[in-house]
Amino acid sequence: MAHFAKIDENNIVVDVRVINNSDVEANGGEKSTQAEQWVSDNFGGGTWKQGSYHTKHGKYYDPSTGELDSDQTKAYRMNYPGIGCHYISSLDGFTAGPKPYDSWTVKQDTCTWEPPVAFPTITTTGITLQSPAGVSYEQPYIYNWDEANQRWIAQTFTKDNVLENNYIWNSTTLQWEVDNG
Amino acid sequence: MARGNGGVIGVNNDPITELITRFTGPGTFTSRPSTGNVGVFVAAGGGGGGSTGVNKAGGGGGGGFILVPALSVGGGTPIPVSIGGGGAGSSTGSDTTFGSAPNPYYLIAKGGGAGGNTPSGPGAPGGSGGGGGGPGPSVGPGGSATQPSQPGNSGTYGSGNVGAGPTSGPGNIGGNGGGGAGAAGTSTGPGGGNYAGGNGGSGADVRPVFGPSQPWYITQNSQDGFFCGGGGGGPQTAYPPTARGDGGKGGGTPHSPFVANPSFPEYNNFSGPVANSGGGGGGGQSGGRTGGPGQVAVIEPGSASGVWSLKSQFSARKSGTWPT
Repeated sequence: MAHFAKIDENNIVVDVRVINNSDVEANGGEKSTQAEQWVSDNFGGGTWKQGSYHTKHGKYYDPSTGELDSDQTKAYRMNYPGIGCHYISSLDGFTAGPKPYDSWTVKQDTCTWEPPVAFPTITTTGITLQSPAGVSYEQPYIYNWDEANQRWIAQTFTKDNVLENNYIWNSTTLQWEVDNG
Repeated sequence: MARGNGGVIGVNNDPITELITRFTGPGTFTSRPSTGNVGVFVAAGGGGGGSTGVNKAGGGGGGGFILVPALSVGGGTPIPVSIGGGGAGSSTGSDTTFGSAPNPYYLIAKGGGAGGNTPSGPGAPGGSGGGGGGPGPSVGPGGSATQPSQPGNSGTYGSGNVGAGPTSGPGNIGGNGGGGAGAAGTSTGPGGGNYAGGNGGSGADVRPVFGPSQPWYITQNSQDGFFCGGGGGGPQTAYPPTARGDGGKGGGTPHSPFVANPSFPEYNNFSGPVANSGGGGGGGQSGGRTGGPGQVAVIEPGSASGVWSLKSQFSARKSGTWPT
């Protein structure tokens, strides 16, 4: 089976159709503009681009095992296209998912969305807690992107799920700083 | 004139056997001229699991599910079929259609809703709704199910359920399960230790119409005959990988594997045996798993109309293949 994505005037995916391989082969073949035109002619018009179900972040994975394929020439258009994903013409690829925030931009080698401030590198406090179900775990920073202030923020919770602290990520020192004000 | 029919004067007719036509890509279904009613199963593409690069995202909702036991199609009428793809991470699945509006046999299964992104993103509406994303400052609600409210037979015989939202406040930090055609998704919560991802809702069963066994049923983990399950929610980042939310029966996939590093790791869309399940993708950290594509299957009943020879009738009775 082959997958084709319909993109609108803003290069955003609005539909994804599964197409028979035999139809693709009979109308120009895999990765051909003729096949894309055939899909357009038969599925309501507009601009259609072929995608790859097994390509993710620019790499191709073996459909039968899920492992990285030894033949990376099979990788096609960076990511599988879903509704809301962007087609980036300069990369001839689809983004991994819809754009999460206005300020995020496309990472060139993977076509993933990248925040203006790099992801926090510290994800847990180092303190071991035990959940009500009796499972030990490291207390995490529950961090999120703060689009309004263009920064990473986080919270920590006690083992009983009570809010403990709020934090702001210092991208210079690469540390979480308490901000309970 | 036939001579081998026990003395009845007439043409010997062959028995009309049951016939199943299945579509995993687009095509045209044309029933036999003598067919009046058919059984039809339509599955839309499942929703993709949520993610924005942080774990605890919600699972994708299963694709909308339609199972019509007897749909009048008019013998020999060509009916177009179009198959919707699964949703990529954080995106909704595409619709699958049988026929075209306003024909009375037109059916549309709605794509499953995307799982909620973190922080606390809502699950998207869809055939079955996506699960809500794990909490940050607020709580992500589950997506609504749109399949049951579709007009005509698409809603009357359609199934879909809501994705789960957290049940006990913002301290819950796992992602929630996507809804399935047979049941709602499960919230992260005490059952999973508050930190685990919620399970995807179960899919629905086509066996009442298509029988106990077909080669295209998902056989792994006793999923026979079930399709359009919801995707599992992701656990919070630091929790053990065993705390993932499981995919719902019927092709729902578990959350993406646990990866401690929040930068986008390399991982695949592998759905293995759940191709064309309409199952929702698991919520995850690396873009969320992709939902399964949809499908259409049509069953034309067999019949014993016409004149049979006694010999063929006897053989059919003896072998248990006499059409009903």
